[in-house]
Amino acid sequence: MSELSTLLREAREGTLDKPGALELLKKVRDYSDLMKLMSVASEVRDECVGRTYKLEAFMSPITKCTTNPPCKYCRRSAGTERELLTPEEIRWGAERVAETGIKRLEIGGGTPWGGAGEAVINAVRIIKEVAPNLLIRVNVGPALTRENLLKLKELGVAEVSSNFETMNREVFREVKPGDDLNARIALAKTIDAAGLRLSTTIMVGIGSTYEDYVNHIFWLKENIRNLGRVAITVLRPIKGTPMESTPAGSVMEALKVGALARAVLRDVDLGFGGIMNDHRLIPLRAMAGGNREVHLSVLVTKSRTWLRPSISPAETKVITNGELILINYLPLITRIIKEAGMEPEVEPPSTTSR
Amino acid sequence: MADYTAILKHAVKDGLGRDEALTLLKKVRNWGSLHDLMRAASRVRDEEVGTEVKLMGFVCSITPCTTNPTCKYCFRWANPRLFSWGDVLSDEELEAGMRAIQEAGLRRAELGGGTYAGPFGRDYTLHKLRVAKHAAPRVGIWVTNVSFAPEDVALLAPLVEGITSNLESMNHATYKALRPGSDLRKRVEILVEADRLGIPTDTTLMVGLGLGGSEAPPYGEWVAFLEFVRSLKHFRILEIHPFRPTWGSPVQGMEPGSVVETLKLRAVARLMLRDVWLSGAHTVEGLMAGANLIMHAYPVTKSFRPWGHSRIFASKVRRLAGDAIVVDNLGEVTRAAKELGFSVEGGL
Repeated sequence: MSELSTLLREAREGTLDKPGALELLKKVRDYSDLMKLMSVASEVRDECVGRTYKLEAFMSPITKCTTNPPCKYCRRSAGTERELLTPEEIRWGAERVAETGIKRLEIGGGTPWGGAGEAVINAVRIIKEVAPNLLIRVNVGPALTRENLLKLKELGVAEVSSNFETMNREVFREVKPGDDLNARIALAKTIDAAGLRLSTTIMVGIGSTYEDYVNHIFWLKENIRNLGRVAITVLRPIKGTPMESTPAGSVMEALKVGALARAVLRDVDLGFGGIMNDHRLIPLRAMAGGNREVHLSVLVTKSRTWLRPSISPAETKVITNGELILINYLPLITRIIKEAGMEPEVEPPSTTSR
Repeated sequence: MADYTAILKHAVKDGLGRDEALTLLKKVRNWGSLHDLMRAASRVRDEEVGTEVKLMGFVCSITPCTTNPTCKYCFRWANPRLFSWGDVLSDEELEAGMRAIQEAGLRRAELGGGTYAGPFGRDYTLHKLRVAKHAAPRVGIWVTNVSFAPEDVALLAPLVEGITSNLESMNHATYKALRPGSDLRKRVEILVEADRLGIPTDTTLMVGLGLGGSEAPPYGEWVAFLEFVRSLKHFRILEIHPFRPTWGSPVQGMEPGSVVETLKLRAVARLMLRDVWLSGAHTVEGLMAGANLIMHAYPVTKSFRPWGHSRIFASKVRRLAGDAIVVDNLGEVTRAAKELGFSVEGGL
C-alpha cells in the first residue's frame, strides 16, 4: 500500500498505474485530501493543456432517439420527446451561435439506430455554410458508419462523441437496457481510426465502482490515440423516470474521478456535466483540472427547461425565432472563468444587440 | 506588499489584520492562490470550531413585511405573496413546524419573516416567539425578522438563543439606494445592543450588492464589515452570499455577485473571525472555503413556497398542519459534509 503523498507524486508525474489509481481513489476520503488531489490535477492541466478554458455551444436535437427501452435516466423514459430542429432552424442557430464569439459547437441528438449519417451530414453542411470557422462536435451515439465519419471529417468536423457512461457491462445493462455498449465501443474505435478526435463521458451516480472508473480511464488511455475530450457527468435524477428516486450523483466523487482522469490522460480536454452543469461550480471544476464546458454558455433549443432561474436576468440573453430560442450565458461564464484565473476561449461577439 | 503565501502562513496561526485581509483579497486571483486560501481557511475552521457541521432550521414567515418602499432586490418582486399576511404561519402551523424541527433532532432554528414595523410588529413577534418556544423548548430560537427596535432587544432575550440582523451592506449610499424603506442604523444598533446584553448575533454580507458590471470589488468595504462584526464580543454567525438580482425587480438588470469573490471572502472571514459559525457548509466549495454551518435546514413554510425544494435531490415535502409544510432536505444539505469527512451536529 502506497502513501497518499506517493500516489499524488505519481499522479503529478504521470506515472500512476491502475492499482495506484484505484488506491488513490480509495485513499482520498476527506476534503483535505481531495484538495490535494485537485491541486495536482490543476497543475497537470496547466502544464499539459494550459490555462485556456474551452467553451462549447450546444444545439439540439438534430436526430431522434429510437433506443428502446429508453435509458432509465433519460428524459425520454419520462415520456418527453423533443421536436427535431428543421434545416432552417439549424441555419438560424448556427448563425446566432457564431455571432456570440464562441468557437465550438456541439450538435446533438438521440441515437436513431437505423442510422443518422444523412441527417448529421446535412446539418454539418448547413452549419459550415453559414459559420465555417465553428469547431463542430457531433454527438448522436452509435448511428454513424465509417463512411459517415470520413465524410464528416472531410466537411471539417473536428470531434465526434461516443459516450459510454460506464464500461461495467452489468451497470450498463441495468441503466441502459435498450442500448449497446459494444456498438459504442466500436464507434469510439472507428472515430479514432478515422483520425477524428473522440469525445466521451463517464457518468457518476449510476452504480459504477472505483474499479469501474479506473478501468474506464485506463481503457481510454490504452485504446484511443485521438482522445479529445472526457466529461465526467453526474446523475441528475429526472422526475418521471425510473431513476427519479435514485440519489443524484456525488459532486465529490465526480471531482475525484475528474482529477484522476486529468492525472492519467494528461492532455485531453476535461469537462463535467449533469448536476455539475451549474455556473456556481465553475471554480471547483477549474480547481479539479477541468478546462472545457458545454451546456452552460450558449444553447440553441426548443426547450425552455434550459433557462436557469438561478441566473439573473442581466446575464440571461435570449433570442427567439418562433419556438426556437438561443440562450446566451457567455458574459457570466467568461467572467467566472477569468475570476478563477483562466482564459476563456472566446472571440469578441460580432453582434452585440439582437 | 507582503506575499500572499507569507500572509496565509501567518494567518493560520495568528489571525488576520485589516491590511493583510485586503492584500489577500487583491492577490488571490487564480485557482492556485484560491486553493491555498481555502486550505488555510479550512485549517483554521478545523482548529477553531472543529469538523462538526452545525445545522440551523428555518421557519418562515412569522411576520409580514411592511417596509415601504419595498427593498429593490426583495424576492417579493418575483412573488408578491411572499412576506404578505398570506405567507404568515398561524400559531397552529408555527407550533407544528417547531415540533417537527425538534423531532428531527435540530438544536436551533431561525424564525424569519418580513419587517413588521412599529409596536404591533414587536408585539406580534414576541407572541410568535412565545408560541415557538412553548412548542419546542429544546430548539434554540434565532429571530431574523427585525420587527423590533434596538430598545426591544432586552424583551426578546428570554425567548431567543440569538438575534439576527442582516445588514447585507454597511455602505450607506448602497443601502439607501437599494433599501430606501429600511434603516441600516437601526439594524446595526440591534446587533450592538444584543451584543451588549450578551446575546449571540448573526448577520449577512451580500457580495456584489449594488455593483455595476465594471466596478472593482469593494474590498475595503467588505473588510470594514468584517472588522465591525469582529468588534462584537458575542458575534456567532456570519452568512456571506452573492447578490442575486431578483427577476422582475428594479435591480434585475444588475450583475449578480461573484461566486469566486464569495468563496474568497468566506475564506478571509474565517481567517479573520476564527471561531464564528460560517454559513455555506451545504456545498463542497463552501466547506473548502471554511464554512461550518448549514442554514435553511428542514425549512417550514406555507405550501405555496416550499423553500429550496429540489427535484434533483428528491427532498420530500411533508404537510404538517393547516397549510404548513416542511421540506425534508436533511439528506440533501448534509451530503457534501458527510462525503467530505465532516460529522453533522446531532448525528444527523
